[in-house]
Amino acid sequence: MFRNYFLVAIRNIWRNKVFSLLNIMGLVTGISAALVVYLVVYYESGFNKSVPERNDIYRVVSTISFSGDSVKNSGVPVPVIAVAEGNIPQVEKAVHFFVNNTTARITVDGKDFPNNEDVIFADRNYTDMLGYEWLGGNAATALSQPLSVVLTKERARLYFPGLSVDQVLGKQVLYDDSIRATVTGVVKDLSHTTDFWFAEMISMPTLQTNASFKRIYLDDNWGSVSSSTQLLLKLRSSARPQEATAMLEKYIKEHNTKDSKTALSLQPLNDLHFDTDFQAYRRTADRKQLNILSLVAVALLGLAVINFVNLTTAQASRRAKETGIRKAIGGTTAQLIKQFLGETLVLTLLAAILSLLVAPLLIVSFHAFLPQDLPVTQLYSTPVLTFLFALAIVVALVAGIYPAYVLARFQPVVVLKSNTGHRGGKVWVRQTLTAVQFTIAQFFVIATLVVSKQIHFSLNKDLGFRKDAILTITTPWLDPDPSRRRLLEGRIAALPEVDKVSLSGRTPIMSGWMSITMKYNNGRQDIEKSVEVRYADSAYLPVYHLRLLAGRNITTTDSVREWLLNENAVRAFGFRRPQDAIGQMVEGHPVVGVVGNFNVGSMRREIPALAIGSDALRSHRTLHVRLRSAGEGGVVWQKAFAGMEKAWKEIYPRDEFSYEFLDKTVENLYGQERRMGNLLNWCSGLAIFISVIGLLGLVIFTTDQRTREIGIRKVLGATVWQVVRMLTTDFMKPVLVAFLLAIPCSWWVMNQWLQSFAYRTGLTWWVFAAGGVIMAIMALTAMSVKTVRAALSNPVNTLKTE
Amino acid sequence: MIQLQKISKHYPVGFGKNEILKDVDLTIEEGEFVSIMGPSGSGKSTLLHILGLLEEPSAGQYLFQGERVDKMNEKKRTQLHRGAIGFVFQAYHLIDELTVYENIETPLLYKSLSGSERKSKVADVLDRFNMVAKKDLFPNQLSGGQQQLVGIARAIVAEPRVILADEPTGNLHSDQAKVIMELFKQLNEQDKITIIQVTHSDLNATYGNRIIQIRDGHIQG
Repeated sequence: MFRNYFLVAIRNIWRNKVFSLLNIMGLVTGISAALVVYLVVYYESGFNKSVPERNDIYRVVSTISFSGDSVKNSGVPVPVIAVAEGNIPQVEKAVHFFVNNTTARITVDGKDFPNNEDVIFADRNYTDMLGYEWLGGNAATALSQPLSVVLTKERARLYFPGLSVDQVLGKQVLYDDSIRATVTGVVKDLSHTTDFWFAEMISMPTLQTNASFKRIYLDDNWGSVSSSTQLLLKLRSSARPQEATAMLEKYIKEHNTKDSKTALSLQPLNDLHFDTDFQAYRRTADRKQLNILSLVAVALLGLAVINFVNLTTAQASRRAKETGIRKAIGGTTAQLIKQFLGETLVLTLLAAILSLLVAPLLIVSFHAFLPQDLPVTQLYSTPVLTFLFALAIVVALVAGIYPAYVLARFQPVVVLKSNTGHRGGKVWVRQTLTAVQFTIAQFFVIATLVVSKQIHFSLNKDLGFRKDAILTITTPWLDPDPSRRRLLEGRIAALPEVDKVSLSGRTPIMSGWMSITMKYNNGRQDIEKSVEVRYADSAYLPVYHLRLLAGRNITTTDSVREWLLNENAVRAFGFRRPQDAIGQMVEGHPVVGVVGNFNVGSMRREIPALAIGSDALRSHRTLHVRLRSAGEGGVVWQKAFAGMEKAWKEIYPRDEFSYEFLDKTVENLYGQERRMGNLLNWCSGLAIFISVIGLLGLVIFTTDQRTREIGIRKVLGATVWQVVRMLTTDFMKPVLVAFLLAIPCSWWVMNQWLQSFAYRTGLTWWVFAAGGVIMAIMALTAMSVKTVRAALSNPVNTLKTE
Repeated sequence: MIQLQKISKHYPVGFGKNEILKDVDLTIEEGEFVSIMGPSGSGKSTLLHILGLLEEPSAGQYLFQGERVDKMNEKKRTQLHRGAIGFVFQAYHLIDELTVYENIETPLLYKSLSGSERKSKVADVLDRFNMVAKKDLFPNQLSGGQQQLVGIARAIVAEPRVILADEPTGNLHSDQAKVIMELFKQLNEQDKITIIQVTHSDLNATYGNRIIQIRDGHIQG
């Protein structure tokens, strides 16, 4: 029985090549999208699964509240470690480590390596908890002595290429030219699905050997929290995490002050990879993003299923005779339904196999929206293949059940008696499904337009300062010697291609916040405000063309002596006019000038109250360079880059020279939006593709059925245009309905999305109109493939065949 | 073997109804070769369809081997359909996507016979009809007469008690028609299969041993 069904299925697929191809193309697209999303979900949910007894392990994290604001931090105050180790009965073992985020340079055999923050200070508890496999060295003692370091196999290969594990032991690694550690162990790298990606473990006692390490990492202040201080607790299996939290809370409460309160909580290890509140070490997965991807996959799959239903029921009459015969020789409706479902399954399995080839292409296209470390080879692992197989079956059931019912329902007598065509299923069902399909595609198109319009708006809005022809060069941030920075500033300012240079803090616009609380007493009361700050020298204003509204520019000083405020800060402190603020004392320093408002972050952020002060010694580490005109073919700038690099190399011979244009900095603020735009581009493309091939299939079918009619009409004098219009009109109805349905949906969703921007583009009517026109053009183009040819055909030929 | 008592069939047309068969009484004994004749639209095909369980009568009783067919449940009726009745159509109605062999095998699949049983039965029939060489061809690679041979082979492979043939030679020229009619006669005489055919041709009717004239839904005489 199965063989018989299978043969009929294969022969039918082969016989109706065009329809099979259209069907399979749609299904492959939908299934590939679902496959890629599943791969991502499977990959992300596999993180940290290899940690032994992971269900009992928690990370202690902090929430610090002050003046109505709260900040989440994945670290803990250092004294909490000792408490967790000794005073909490629920804790079986407390494991702590410090992420080394201060070492700037690692030197091995005279070669420099950067610190990627994958270097930690740890002890044996850490390696035991993660279950490392030791390839060399003694697990018990490797991290017990100061100035020892354990490397992973990969790291050992990077530092000591060509040496065996035994040869690596005893070698030396130099940190910041001062701390010389001996390699005492080599461990096997953990599987790549781990958040504990650290490749270099320096022994904990090493911290005691260096005064600056001691100051930075072993700060015994209860009030200071650094994300480099990581504390993991393995609870007794009988213990409840709430009890442990309550105990910790008891200890920390004693040390909270009026201004600042720290609350500790336990984050299950199983949540670590997904909790965007408390960052994982290298990359935190975003559940929301996974949900969006899943929705997209379901939508595309839905479109493919609709195609299948439409195309199959439309050409049901071709199969009606077979149903009639099979019933006449003893087949039951149930058997026929099974047969047709089986055929669908053959088709979906075929599409599933093809998806394995197409999915890698999708991974490349969606690259920006997927985890960067996603291993493509996992596509061919057993769980993913099992999912694919299961998906093929589910899709076959969902897509196949209605067509199978329609096909199996034909009555033998009706079919076998007459030779006229039989309609499969109701036409309105197909039209409704087509309308649904196009609504989804139309939604994607409009969303794409809105997102790109907002990005265009964000990049082109007047920011309140000049951003073209300005680049920034960040000096090595651990360089303790300010004179070298000034030397570099002078050298670069002397280049003829350079217009002006400022040695200041951050750029006017940047990602993230930099704010302090400022106090002003207006004679009656204290006004306390959170104010964004920029540290700058006197050249900052002219370089960026910031408008000075009152008072004078700031003078360059080693630490803050005076303030510039922006208009919003002036208002926030209760001054009516900019002039009124001049000379007032804010946070202990006089206001000397007022600048116009300018954007300090992405368009999502309202322009805040802002103060500019000069803090040269500590904060002025970035050169802001304004270039002269680029010159013919950019020659002038090429010379400028060369000159700047030469100056850099003379002053910082061991550091890489790099610069960033301010335009680029601004663009980078919209990474998320641009990834979203990119994803939407692809979704619209795929959705249009699937919907349009479905429409084409329907048009091919009906047009073929009406060949004779077209011939007769042409003989009677119809023009090509009239015939095309006749063939097209019916099919444009669902497209039009889809457009009308998509307008409110997309308006609502995109309006919600735009609300997250403080400065946003409008949802103007032409966005929707353009979306509709794009969709109509796509649909008409696809249909014209068939309709124009049918209309041009010579009636003599079409009528003769009857 | 077959007894029809006061069988009527009508279709609704507008507000009225179109009567096809009116109070038909008919008895057919085992081993008979019956030809149903009559002008177009007289109801002979409908009668055949009712006999073959493809259509249900609007009124009346139908007894097959003494059992009330109109009272049977779906399952029993399907069994009767599969085991006792074979169909031959004017337009052959082979499944285009299946080879000769597979077409003949299909009724056996619905009877859930084992693979080896199917093989031997199909081989027997192919052998008997001299079609072994053509077993892997598709219907559109055969002439009309050959297609109808396959149609008959398919009808008898499940060893039915009765074959219902709806103008089996209607699409064939006279030489081919003769071959087919000889075959029916042989099946009737040697295999003792009851045969009921609808035909326009007086010549074809002579192969049978009884003629039923039908006119305006009534059996004449």
